[in-house]
Amino acid sequence: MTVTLNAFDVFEIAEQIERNGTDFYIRAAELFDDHDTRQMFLRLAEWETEHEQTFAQMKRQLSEQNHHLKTPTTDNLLPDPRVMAGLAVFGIRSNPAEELRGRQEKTDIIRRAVEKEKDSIVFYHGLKEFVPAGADKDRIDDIIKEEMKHIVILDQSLKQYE
Amino acid sequence: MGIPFNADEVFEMAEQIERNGGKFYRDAAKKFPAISKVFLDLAAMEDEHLKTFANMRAELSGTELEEPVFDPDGQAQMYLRVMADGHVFDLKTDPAEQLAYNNTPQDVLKMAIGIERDSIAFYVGLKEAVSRRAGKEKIEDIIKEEMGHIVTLNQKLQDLT
Repeated sequence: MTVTLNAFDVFEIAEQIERNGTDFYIRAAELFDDHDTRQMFLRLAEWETEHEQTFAQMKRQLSEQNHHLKTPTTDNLLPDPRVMAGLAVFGIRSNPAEELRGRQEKTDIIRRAVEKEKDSIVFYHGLKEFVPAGADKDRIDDIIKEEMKHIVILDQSLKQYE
Repeated sequence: MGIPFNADEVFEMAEQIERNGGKFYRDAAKKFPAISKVFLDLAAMEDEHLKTFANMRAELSGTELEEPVFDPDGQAQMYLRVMADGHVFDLKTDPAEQLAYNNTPQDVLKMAIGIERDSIAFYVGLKEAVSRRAGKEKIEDIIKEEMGHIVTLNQKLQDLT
């Protein structure tokens, strides 16, 4: 069976990605004794929470525009909505707390964080196709750029531990 | 901020990604003949991407080749530099070498999805860093095709599980 997603679904996944990201970073902060690294993770957690709020707001606006959004119709679908279904694997594949269980190596934790950021970048790039050109697309672009910045920050931290 | 990239450097990296991808899929096809068609089709598409990136690099030769790519905030530059450093994006290791450690078609399909994801993550940064003239739209087209590859691989994975 071919799985398809509508715009409402993909924004929900985006929110879940950010929620998972926040949980992951809070848990990661607890695993580091070093003050600066803990602060870095807690800042990243805050930024992910802000992203979650942005996606939630965009989803609300979408809902207001279309009361029937929960029912997939051709109006709400991508030309090929299987693409987002395929990319959804990056957004919903793991529980952050489970992911960090037994993963105590510092570099492993940071590397895992980078992997999550890459997942987000790819998913959000696909998500852009769900919104018309304009403010919302720009907001998603901004979030993608911020996720790229997170990777740069994590990379700098990784170099300290290697 | 590190030393700025020029267009030649970044497109060379993109070519290497596609070269690695094509080799990975061809080796995967040899290892798993039962699902070789999907791998060989993907290899052929990666070959096309390689040609596109090579053409883009050639087109930029003599024009922007020695100039830093367009990136007013320097963010995309830093992101690309992180990838080039190889700490968090291993673009230099031949992924085909890792096939030896993946013994089931499912493992290889999952690995392929990871490779496609990494290439998209790189191309999204590349797209940010290059001007319209340097081929922003062509990069976007390739990103869309790589996303299509993930759909194909994911579908195959579901068929096997």
